[in-house]
Amino acid sequence: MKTQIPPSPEPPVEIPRYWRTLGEREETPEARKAAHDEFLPGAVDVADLPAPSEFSRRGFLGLMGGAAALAATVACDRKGQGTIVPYTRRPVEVIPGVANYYASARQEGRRAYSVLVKTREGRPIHITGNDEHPGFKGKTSPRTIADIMGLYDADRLRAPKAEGRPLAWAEADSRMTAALAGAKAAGKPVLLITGAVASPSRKALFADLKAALPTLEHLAWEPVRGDGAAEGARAVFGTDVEVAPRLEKAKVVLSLGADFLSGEDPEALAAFGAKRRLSEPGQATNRLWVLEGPLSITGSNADQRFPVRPSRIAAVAFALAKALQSRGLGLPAGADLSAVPAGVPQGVDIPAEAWKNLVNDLASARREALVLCGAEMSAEAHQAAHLLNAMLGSQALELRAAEPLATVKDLDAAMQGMAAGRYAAVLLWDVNPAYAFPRAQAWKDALAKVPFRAWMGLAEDETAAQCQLLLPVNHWLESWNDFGSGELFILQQPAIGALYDTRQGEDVLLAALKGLGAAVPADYHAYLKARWQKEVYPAGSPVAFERYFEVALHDGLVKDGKAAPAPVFKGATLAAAAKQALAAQGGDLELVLVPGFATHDGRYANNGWLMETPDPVTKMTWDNPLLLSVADARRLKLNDGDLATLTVDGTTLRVPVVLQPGQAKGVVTLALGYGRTTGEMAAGKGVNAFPLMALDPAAPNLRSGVQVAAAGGSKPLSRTQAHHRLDGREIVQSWSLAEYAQEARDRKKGPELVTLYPDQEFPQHKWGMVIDLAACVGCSGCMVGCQSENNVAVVGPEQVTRGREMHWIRLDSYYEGDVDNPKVVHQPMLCQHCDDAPCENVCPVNATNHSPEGLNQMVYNRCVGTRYCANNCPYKVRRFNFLEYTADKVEPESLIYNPEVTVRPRGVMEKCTFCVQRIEDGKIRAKGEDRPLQDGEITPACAVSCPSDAIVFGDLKDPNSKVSQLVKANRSFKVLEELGVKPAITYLADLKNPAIEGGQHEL
Amino acid sequence: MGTSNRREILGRLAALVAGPLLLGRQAVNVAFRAGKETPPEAPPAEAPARLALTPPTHSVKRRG
Repeated sequence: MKTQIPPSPEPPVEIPRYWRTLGEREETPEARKAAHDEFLPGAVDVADLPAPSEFSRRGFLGLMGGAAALAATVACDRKGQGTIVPYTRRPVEVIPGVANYYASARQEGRRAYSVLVKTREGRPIHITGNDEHPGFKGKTSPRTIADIMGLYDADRLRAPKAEGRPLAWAEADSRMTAALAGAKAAGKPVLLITGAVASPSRKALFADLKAALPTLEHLAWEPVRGDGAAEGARAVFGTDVEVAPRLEKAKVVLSLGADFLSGEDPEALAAFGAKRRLSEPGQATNRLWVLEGPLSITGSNADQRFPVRPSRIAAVAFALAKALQSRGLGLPAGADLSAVPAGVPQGVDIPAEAWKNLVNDLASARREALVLCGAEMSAEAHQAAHLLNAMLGSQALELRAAEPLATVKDLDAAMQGMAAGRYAAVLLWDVNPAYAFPRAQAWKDALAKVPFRAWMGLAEDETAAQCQLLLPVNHWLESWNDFGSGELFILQQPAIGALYDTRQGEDVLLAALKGLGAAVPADYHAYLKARWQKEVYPAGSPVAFERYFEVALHDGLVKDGKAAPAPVFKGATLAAAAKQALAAQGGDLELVLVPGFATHDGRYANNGWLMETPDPVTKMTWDNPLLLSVADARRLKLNDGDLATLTVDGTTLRVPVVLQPGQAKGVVTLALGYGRTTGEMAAGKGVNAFPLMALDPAAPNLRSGVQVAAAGGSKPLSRTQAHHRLDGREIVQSWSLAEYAQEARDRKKGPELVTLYPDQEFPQHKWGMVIDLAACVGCSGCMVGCQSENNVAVVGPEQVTRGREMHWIRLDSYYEGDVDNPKVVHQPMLCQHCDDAPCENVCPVNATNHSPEGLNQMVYNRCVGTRYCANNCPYKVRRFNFLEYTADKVEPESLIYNPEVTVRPRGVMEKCTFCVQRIEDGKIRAKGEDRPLQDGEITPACAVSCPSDAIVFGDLKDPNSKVSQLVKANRSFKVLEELGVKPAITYLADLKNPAIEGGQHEL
Repeated sequence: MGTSNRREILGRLAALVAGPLLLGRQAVNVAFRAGKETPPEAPPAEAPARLALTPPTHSVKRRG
């Protein structure tokens, strides 16, 4: 639904406390109607359904009778009878019907995730975090869960190709060897560009290649990892660093545009969630301050948030350092802040009282304070953040020296080298500069001048189109590797043999090494093992290496205990950085380019699960609109969905706009990773924002002097923020700590609900769930986990625009307060499994009914699609298959399905089942082992995928279960309890800890 | 007499077999009517061959 901004900026007399859209806040007639209607107007249109039949009822009945007779006749034929044989030769590892689990690992940028892969009949079908990992503890990121889709991507290249024709690996190897040997003989450089090197074995392989081919030049490039962070770290530490927050040790956290709760870092989310799950008002918690331009997930969880333009973040950080200096915190040697004026910097709208509170918080928490700076921020901002942590002596972060990453400037230099004919050959491995380099066309022109161009990757992309030799590589679920250094090594092992005629990238390089005359092991598995035996296996260990390696593969990791020394802070460059920071101005409008939640840098743009998961803040799917503050939109006369031109330094893009509450005035935001030209799912979705990136490595993601103007016309937005609204009732509860104390003291009990229905009886179990809104950060991990576990269909942007998305669990975001800087509450909403479920008694065919264990269950083959149940559900959690989303799925896409969950056809209603297949599995296991079910043994996919442990599931009949205890908590409430439907899900109120009013002043 | 009876019985038998058959064919024709515009969710023309799934070599499973 398109939100119309009312002409007057004056607020109405009464603003609802919690609102989801601007229209709802202003209570426009459209918003009222949307709240009242069950579906969006387009959702139930029958225009796209087939035309009604011309047959009469009599004719239809005649045909039915005839068809039935024919079917009966045909059914008497025994010819079609066969025997189902699951395997003619069953692999020893595979038992039909029994899942296998493999510990493995996956890399994204510098981060490696230790995971557990569930396979059924040899197919990986679900990913969770590795429960043996001391940090992840069974949790992982939404993109990691969804990346299983990459394995079954129909667009994967299935065999080597050259000049558009398939060729054998032997020929590909000989071409590669000839090119490299030719370059070596001629003494000409060979350029290898890869992603970040996080694997010590891969690093060793690169060193071996360099030894065999001295002219090799290697660049490790991650287009959205933030060159400013690298430049800032190099300035103050002399090396690249990796910053790992240790939030469990932090009382006060200050984010300078850092989105550390985005879901990428499950360890951070777990530690943050643990500090927020209060059972009593007086318990110790933390306080999160956020200063940022665009509203991020982290900002939406802030206790105190102030919109600050990114161009002023560095100035703010230096001003804070100055204020801390005046509070007696010493400056590191060499640091000089004499040029920095005291107080809030010019152009920054932070009230004096709040500034004082922030300085007080940091100064009093000292070693228990932590400052984090966003990857998109400038190098000066990163230097200032490192300075603040050094002054505070923060114990709440770990700094580790990291392998250097190439900046956009390094890529530019390489491009100029290619254009000048410097390189004999270029190898591009899992990188896509023809799409993600800001000057993509110049890159393509330069690359065309290199005599030999080889590409290694999963699916042909924009860069592959520029290369002669295309070498398809294994997905990580088909690969070997290792990650980490010092304290902990994690291992990647295949969970399935290669699906196609592909090779692991390292094996391609090993073949090249062999071709160059080096003595190398037969394959990368052998190479990895040999290196582990030499480098990782403890000398003098009583355990044989083979056994040691087997145990490491079983666990997925090895703890080594050798921590690397932390880099030393040097303050010599700070005075110049402070001067630059104070002078920085963003102009009338400034642009921040952020990695797409779904797409990252574009590598996941072909992943339907991710593309259809609404962005946790904007709730946008399949597209990257330009985000504007409401004030700027008013000034530019733009509404949601209007098309605008965005011009930066001569480059213009035409984009739809979204009015984002909480966005700083004068700041516009565009997500990267969209606008791909290849990939069935990715092509044509959104616009490519990489051409807007600067070539200045100090802050390539920040652009000043941006122009935005109405372009005329509009685009329907596939945005779910206004979908499934619950009509005008108090749905969420968010309290300050003072309110919590008051509620805990004298909480009003509602009137006792009276029902005409007899109480349901649950003889054995009564399943229930508790969701802690204080711990939930809105990362959407639960949505992706549920989609993977329950075969939830991807419907595409047009259907999402009509409100027909199929997610069984959704993340509702409610705003509270001022439109320029609202508080945000995230609320996971799923089937509440009501005891007196209003959906059950309206189903004419009893397709939805109640189980003896309290589950509101669906019998899909009974459902005739009346949609009465959805109409009668007060929580709007039922999803109808308006179209056939699954029947056309063939291998490899169909291999992703969980065989324990029915794939639903068109015309059927579906919804959350509390992962009934997991409940049954747990019960069968317990029965098989002749023991009672243990509390916590059964966990639905959403709870497993929640990094902050906000979702707890269990048996309400067991008074000692965790869920039974939490239901009685003093923060508990049920959504729409007044309806008397007796939901099985209890929510715990969100908590905010502001410093000014009602917060916890003494931390 | 016998011939006419046989004819009648044969006619009835033929109708019993042909009726459902013809009606069934008609039903099939209704469901898969030629020339009907292909719906957007129509399955692809030919199903590709099944992929051969191979278990991983040298991997060590956690449980199963």
